[in-house]
Amino acid sequence: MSKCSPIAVILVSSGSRGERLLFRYPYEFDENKEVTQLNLPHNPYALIEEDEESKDGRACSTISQGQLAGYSDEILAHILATKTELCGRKFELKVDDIRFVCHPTIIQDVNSKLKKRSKEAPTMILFNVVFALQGDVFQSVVHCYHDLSKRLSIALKHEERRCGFLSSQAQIMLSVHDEVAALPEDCLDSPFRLMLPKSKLCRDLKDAYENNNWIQVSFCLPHKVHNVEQMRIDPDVIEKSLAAIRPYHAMLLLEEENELLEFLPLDCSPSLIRLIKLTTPLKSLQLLSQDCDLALSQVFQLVGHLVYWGKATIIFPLCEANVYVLSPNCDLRMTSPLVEEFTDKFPGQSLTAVLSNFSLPLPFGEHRNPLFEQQQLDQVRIVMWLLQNRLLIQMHTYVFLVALDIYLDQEVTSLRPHRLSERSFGSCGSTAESPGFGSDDVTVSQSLESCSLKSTDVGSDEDIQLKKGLSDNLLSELSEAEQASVLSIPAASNEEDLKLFARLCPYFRGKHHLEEIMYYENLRRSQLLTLLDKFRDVLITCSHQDAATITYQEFL
Amino acid sequence: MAGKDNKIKCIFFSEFHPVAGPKITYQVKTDSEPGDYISKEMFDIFHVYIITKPQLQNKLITVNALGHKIMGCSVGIENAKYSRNALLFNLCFVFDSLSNTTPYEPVVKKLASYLIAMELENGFISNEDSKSALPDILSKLLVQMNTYGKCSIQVNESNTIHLKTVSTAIDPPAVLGHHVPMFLVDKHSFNISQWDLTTQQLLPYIDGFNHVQLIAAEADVDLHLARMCMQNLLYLGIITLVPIFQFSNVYIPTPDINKLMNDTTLKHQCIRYVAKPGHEIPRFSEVFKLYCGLAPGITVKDFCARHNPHSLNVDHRKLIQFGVMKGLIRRLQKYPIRLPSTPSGYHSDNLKSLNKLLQGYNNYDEICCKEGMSHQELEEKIENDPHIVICWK
Repeated sequence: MSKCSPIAVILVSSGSRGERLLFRYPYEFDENKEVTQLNLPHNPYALIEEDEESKDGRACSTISQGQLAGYSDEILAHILATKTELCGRKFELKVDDIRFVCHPTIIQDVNSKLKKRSKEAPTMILFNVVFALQGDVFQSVVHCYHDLSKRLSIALKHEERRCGFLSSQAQIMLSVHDEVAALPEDCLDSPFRLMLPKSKLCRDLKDAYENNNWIQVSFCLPHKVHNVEQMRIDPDVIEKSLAAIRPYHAMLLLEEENELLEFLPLDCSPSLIRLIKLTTPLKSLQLLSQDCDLALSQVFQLVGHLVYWGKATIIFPLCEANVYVLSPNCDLRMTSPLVEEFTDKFPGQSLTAVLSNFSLPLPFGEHRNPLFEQQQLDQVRIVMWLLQNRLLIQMHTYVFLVALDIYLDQEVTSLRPHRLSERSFGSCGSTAESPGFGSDDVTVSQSLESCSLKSTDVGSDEDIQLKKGLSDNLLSELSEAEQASVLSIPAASNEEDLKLFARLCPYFRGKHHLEEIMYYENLRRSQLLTLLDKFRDVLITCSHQDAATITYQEFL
Repeated sequence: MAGKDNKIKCIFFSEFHPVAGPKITYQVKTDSEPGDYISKEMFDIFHVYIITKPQLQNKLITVNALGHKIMGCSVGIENAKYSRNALLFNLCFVFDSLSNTTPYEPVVKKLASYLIAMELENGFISNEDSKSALPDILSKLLVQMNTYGKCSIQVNESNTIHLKTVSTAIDPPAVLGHHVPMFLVDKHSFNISQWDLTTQQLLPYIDGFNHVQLIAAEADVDLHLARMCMQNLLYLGIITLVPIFQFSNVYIPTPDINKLMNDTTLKHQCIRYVAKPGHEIPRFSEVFKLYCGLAPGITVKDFCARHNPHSLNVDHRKLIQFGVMKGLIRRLQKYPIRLPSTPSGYHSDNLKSLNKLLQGYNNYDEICCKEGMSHQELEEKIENDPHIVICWK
């Protein structure tokens, strides 16, 4: 059983008839369990053991078979129907290895209005929807269940105010309790089982326990939706990764479009439906926003929403230049259920063979055989499927600007190389920090224009002088050694190349991959690659995963 | 909110007074503001969870509400000599609501059992004279626990309270024969004689190059024991595991490679570490270029042939070691897998024993270790069989 699943859901109330446990699910009236409990005293050894344990003060677990055991209804009602002072805020109670999370809510003020109508009815002062969890779950999970409890409470309070829903349901539950209590001892049945068909609220709570999807309240526990084995997710990881969505990313739906559309509630936003219908993994979010006629920020929100619910993930748009390798979490075992699923989906293909093809970092375009046109489509579908199942990660290329050694030696008289590099890199840290290039760009291009105007009417003698002036302006963000290194490259004498290089300099600190540079600077891949090649002596390229989307590829 | 400093804010002793009912008898606190940390009104809200019903006695109860996290273990001792036939009390720790209180859980439980023992021995709690020593004990407890995380307080001749918080780390991964242990702390910074005998025997052989199986053989220790010792050291954060160095290994940079570019101390550490002994310290840009030269599909052998790290005064083993240790690079493991469509009887006999290892569960290292063959031998067998594919991950 998953650690994140609740052990039980409990509804308690407190009112004129005292503290009552109205409903709990799962109710434990398992015949087997009762038998074992009855048998216990007959076994002298068991009895002694038990005594010792309680004397030691050591806890015997109160969770048996994933259910809450050993607590009577009365004691649960006693501890979970809190004082009114604790209402309206988070309440967390941990008893040994069970953690109760809830949001007690007062409804007395609502009740007092109703009371005028029916004075006979017993009043309810507060109610509490409680989730019992295992004691050692992560704080973020606790937080999510509190949120669920809070939402349920708010919805119930609203319904109570509207039509007295809670009171009437409580009435039904209480009468069942009374009926059962009146029954003779030997035909003791769980009152909670009898309640289920009679009360809608009971059924809804049961649903909440079983599905985490409630009818009136939408709720999703990210930890369960994303089926992650490594449960050590920071509570804010998801939010952080949502913030990392960029316009050049694309959305990959994790379910079939039709399934997803059916899943959506009736009253969902029409733009969400439009978005789902128009999205393809080939289309960047920016294009998608144009196609859907929505603001980019709204697209981000809708995509973030789908990602949070585990219905979509963020990828870089599929294109021929993408380089994929296997994810470190990729399940290679022949017994993995994915193997069969893959063969069902793509008859005649073997998952293992396909994965083996992706073991070497070839650009996606080179994976396919140009002789078979049909295969192309298949390949795209296969990659989509592999990405949906998080078997692949994408490698991106990053560029670092590194000064040449001779200039580093000139710059500082001391011969210690690490001191040198420290200096030159110390300055680069600050420039790389500023991803908002807006203002810098303007000044660079202005000085650039003025320079190029001059360059038309000056002689070759002054050319060198000018080039120096130009480079001073252009490369002012670089350290001296870096400037000297860049200018020593033959391509730097070509003004166009140098201008382009200067424009792209801020990206050469290893924080922006080629695709990002292409997007921000509106360049074609070939242009960028040519430039990188011309200046290759001062540039180091490195390919690794994109740190910003690493969570999408591994967790989300 | 004061934040997550996990300090005890207050310790209070609460009991069921035969006349006045549940009340706080003594409390000590860390802050110097006047007044009680837990006011009477607040106690009235919480007392259900502090002086509990009998069903909840001897259970560790933590209440988190109103900005406080109160942890206690309610005690009830039944005896006809007490005025209501039972003595009910609870010694509670109070924290901020955001604190992580898990390390204190055993402490509170143990403290409760100390008090029970002392009450049963000589009526420590029920006797007003001896009970008046409690505030003094509580304040010592508070100071020592918050400062040192442990305490030893002598209460009387026969009873001393020993408490210590235990922080739990994540379970370490299993140590396998081909893993290479490597010190994270200075080998000489801790007293070797404090370790158990087996670990003492193993420690001298840990150098970041020897794998566990070799260490066990050299130290004449059972492999299983050696693995357990390593796992223990791993848990304590003294060693880390790196992959065994082989020229057939493949490494790729991780996004953390940027750290090397931006962190000056790491940069220093790196070029010193990877330098060939007796040579000049290599240039950082060269070292960085070497790391960036690692890519999928390039084995260390190819890498050395292409970049010749020795000419740059770089020790390739140390280069890889440093990168793995700091998470700048990671190893790609090689998994040979037999495609299921293989007609039976096709493959040669010597592969039969291997077949069960070719199901995608085991990588080259594991197979070599289990079968006792060299990488080369395995490679030859695999390459001769067209029905085995290789996956790198």
